[in-house]
Amino acid sequence: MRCWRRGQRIGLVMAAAGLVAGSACSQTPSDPAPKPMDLSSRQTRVPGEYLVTLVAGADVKAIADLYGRYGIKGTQDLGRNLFLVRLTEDPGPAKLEELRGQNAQIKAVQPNFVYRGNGRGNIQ
Amino acid sequence: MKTLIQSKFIAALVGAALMLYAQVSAAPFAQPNWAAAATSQYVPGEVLVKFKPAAVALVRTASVAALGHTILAHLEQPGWTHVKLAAGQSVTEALVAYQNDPNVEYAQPNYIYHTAAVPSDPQYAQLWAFKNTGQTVGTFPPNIGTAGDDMNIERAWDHITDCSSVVVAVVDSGVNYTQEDLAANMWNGGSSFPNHGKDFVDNDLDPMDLNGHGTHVAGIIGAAGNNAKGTTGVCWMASIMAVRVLNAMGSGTTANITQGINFAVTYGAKVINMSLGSGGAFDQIFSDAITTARNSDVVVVVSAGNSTSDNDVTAHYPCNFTQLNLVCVAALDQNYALASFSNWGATSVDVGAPGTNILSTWAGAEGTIADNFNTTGVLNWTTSGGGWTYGQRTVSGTLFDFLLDPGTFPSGAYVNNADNRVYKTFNLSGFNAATLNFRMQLAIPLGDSLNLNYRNSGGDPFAGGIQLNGGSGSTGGFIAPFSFDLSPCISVACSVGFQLVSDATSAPAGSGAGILRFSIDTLTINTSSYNTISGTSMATPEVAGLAMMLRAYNPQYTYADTVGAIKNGGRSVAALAGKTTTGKAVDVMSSLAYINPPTGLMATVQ
Repeated sequence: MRCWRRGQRIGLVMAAAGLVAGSACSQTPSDPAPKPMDLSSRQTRVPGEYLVTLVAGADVKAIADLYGRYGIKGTQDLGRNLFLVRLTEDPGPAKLEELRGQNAQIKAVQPNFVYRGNGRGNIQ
Repeated sequence: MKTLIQSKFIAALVGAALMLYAQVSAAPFAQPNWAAAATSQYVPGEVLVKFKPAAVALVRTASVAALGHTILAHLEQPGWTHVKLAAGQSVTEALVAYQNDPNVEYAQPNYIYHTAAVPSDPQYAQLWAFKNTGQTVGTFPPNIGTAGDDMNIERAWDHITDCSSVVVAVVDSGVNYTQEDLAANMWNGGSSFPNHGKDFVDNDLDPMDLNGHGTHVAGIIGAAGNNAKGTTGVCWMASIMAVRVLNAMGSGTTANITQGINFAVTYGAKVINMSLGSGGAFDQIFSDAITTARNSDVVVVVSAGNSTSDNDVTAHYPCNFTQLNLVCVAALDQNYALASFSNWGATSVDVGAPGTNILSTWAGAEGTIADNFNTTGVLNWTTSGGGWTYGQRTVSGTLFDFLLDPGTFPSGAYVNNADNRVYKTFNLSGFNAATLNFRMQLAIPLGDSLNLNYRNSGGDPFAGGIQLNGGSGSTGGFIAPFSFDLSPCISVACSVGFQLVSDATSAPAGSGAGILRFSIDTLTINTSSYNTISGTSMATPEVAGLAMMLRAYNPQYTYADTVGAIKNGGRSVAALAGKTTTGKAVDVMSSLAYINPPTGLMATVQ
């Protein structure tokens, strides 16, 4: 049987609408259980984008050393030892945090969260 | 009638003196005299006495002299004399004495009248947040207010309207810095920042607003006042730094926002407004940026959120960050009830401010290009490969036009090895921003994909076009909203299309896509647009404007002094009791009058 699954990119907009893929398949950590649509909960992070903080004086190469296995599409220096990293594959925040402990030059890693304006023209 | 005559009379008699006093009364607002100046109703040591017609000048002079007083002037109104009292004598004592004088018809204090600082802006009467007369404003219910439920700002304008000494950063979707009510009040970024700020979405020096939200926020803080145009902000003169961190659809990321905060702090902002938020997880990097702002003595004002939820239960960031330079704001309606959409939080939300039907500046003219996929029931989009059809479906009792593949969706399934394309070309020339919106039910299994593309030269967008999204997935049997920034496609011929691609494996029944309510929302930047909208986003800049005013009026104020004056100077509102840390709505005059307790004083007890 073929399973519904969040596509790599269509999944982004599914999450934006507060949706999780429905499935008749067994649940796995990367394939959460289906939920009804909830428009109040919307996308909270950009898939594949992470903010990596290096320890002072660390070489930016440490990012590729640790996370290069997922394919690095781009790295942007945001200043203050902070880098925005775009990955080709997204193993999820938990996996990146787990890997962080393997390289002392990486101080922290977190998702690139999404925020929205709190003004609305026609709140119903 | 008597009151009216008396008012006119006093105005005529002592107008010059009152104007002078109004000027003088502003000076004592050096803090030690605040309390007395704010409560004094009449001039100490003076009274106005009306003698009876029979009392000739000699009699009047004798009466006054008998009490040890002196005549300052015989006023032009017959019978009235302006009298200065003896040193140490109270006005009350003098009035009793004159009332007992048979030559006197009437005596009264020399009342103080303040100038009514009402700006000339033609739409001022719509600004219920500043002056709630019970007027009807906008459409968000309830749109009829209660007189007096406002920010008590007009009295404050007697003392300060120019806050341009304090830079306020609007960290938002940018600001239309050419808008007629904002252009004069934008931050001067010199040659380094010629457009009054920076854009961290496109990483350039043009923070032009392609959404409208940031321009609205900026106008609430500091639309030019008393300029006979549009509206006014909390301050009539301001220095607004435009920091673009939200895109044309009104969303941004940790990376955008923290860069924006750091920019604002680096270039001298002392107040930051962030009318944005997320119900996501704790964001350490965002929190660190707030801390950086605090360490640079910057006040950060943020919105509580529009989810009608308790932030103490479900955190909403940045509102739930705990730095002491942070003020989180809930929205009040025109009757000072908590706005129906507003979040609250007894330990996380600080104050309330007007947030419904707020009129302010806007980025430009908005339009909508809607498309229902058909002409007299026949699909009017271009197709190739088959599959896509036009159809109607009833959703929640309403009949909608659908773009469907397969035509039987959500029953049946599309064919194997499909490359079904459907697209249409739109003329988007002349617009500054475009957002693609539609709703969709989707069920595409692994191995197949639904792609959304555009092409800014028209024709088949899957031949040389740009992909906006694509892949497999399911909306779980529901219809969901989708939005995309279509601004890169702005041209005379922008084609937009959907492509369903399948492999050789049969898809299960129910596979396919159904699209409805397709539209392209457009924005054309201009210099004269205004808009009335609602949200905690609109309440937040009311408070940021107050913070700016407090710091302009008290240049020595720290972030702690400013936050203290905002919170302690507020007005208790029943709807906010137990819903916020203070239970108060902001009160501009009271916050301006609030005297922070001195800190760091030492005394020696002998």
